[in-house]
Amino acid sequence: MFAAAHRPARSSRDEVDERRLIEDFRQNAAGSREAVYHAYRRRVFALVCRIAGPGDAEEVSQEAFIRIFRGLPRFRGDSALSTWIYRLAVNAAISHRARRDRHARVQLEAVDEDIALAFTQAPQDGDAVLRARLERGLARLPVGYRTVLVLHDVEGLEHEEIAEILQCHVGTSKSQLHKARARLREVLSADGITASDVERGRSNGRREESDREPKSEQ
Amino acid sequence: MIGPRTGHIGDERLSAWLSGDLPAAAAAAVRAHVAGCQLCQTSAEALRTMVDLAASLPAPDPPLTLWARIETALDDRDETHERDETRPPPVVAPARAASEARPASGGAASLPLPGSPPHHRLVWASCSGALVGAAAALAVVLGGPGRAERLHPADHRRQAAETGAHAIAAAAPTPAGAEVAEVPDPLLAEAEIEVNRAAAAYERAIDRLRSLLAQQQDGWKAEERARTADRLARLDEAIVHSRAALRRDPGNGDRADVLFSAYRRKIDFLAEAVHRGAPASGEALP
Repeated sequence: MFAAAHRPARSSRDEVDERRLIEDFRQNAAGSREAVYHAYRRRVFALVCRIAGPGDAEEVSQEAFIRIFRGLPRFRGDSALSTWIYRLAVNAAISHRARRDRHARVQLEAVDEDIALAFTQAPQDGDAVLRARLERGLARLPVGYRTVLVLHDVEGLEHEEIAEILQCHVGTSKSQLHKARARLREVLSADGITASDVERGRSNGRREESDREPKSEQ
Repeated sequence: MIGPRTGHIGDERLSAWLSGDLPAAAAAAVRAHVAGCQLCQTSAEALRTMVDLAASLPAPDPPLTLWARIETALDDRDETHERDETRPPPVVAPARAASEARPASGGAASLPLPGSPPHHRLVWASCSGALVGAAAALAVVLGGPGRAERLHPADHRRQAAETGAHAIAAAAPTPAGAEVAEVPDPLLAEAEIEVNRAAAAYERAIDRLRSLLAQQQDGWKAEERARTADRLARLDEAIVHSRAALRRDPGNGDRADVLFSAYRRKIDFLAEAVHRGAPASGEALP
């Protein structure tokens, strides 16, 4: 039902030979730690960015990788390496948020850093406006919904793997996903986005891809 | 099951249907309804588009300094005893050091006292939840999907954090600020300080967005400028009203939510305008 066209197949995103990575790491081969880092840094950072927020993403990614490297010697291969890594990243992000949210006081230094991050070059294509709104919508979801939605719809993981990462039942992962999508649509509507906006933007993007014409009215 | 109230299918069920997660009989019922219902077809299409869009979100590149930080932290740890893995790593980040060095302002709101009235907790909850989430969202909005561009080198971010931290220290209102003059309850005073801080952060973001927008507005027609000004005036009105309402009942979490929501709408509008390089006036996209 959903167009799979845009979803990056997991295996093609990063060509990773998990066994080789683990082997090299266990043998303490030169550069093996860095190899693991480079194989997974984007996925970890993307996940952490969306769950813990861009302002904390570097710090939380650091924490996640430290846990990864400390745990790797004991990794038994009960799950895929990437599943195990995702789990550590998600846990690091969620526990970071929990620590932060326990403080009633607004963490304004984090806010300012986020805002400072914002002032970079504006994107050129029309679809980007919609993507930006979607990111914003994601950030406004409760963290549980956001996590499942990011893992499934953004990262492209299957429910079986998500259930392993979140240590829940597959059925729970599914129902959380559908609730999350409903909530996201609600949040986006509150932001003034309607179905026709999304459709218009989507066909806009498609047109741009095929015509490769610069937008004339901007 | 078709919603008893509206006669239509809720988004949660539509999503399950679209993903093939409904049992056969239920899926057939949904399919039959959707076939004859414009509203539900639109909802299904919106959901489908939203999910496809989510699948196309890019993965940002982590900052170049991240690896160095990890390596340093690992080497530090290797030299010490085994640590409990659930505790955070030793602080390496200069950004955090900068914010910890920030002097605590007088009368700063601390953790809510046990037994504090519920509506005070509500204000804090809305401050911390809504604001940080919204500001983080703002960052992503204006950062856009450009990967390498979006992420500054660590130096720049550190600088931004330090600047921000000092600005907060400078801008923090004193406890005896005018807004709290008539309030005898210290908890209410603290709640109001928190709201003011959050509002100040939003105001800073708005100022920066406005100056970005001003740079772009040179090329606009007078009509477009007028439309934008008009829209901004209405958004400002909403902020003024909700701020006044909150002042009449400080500590009211719902009213604080309304105020922050009004701020977010203004930020969203400005962000859209900056993004597009033209007023988000509701004109049809080309």
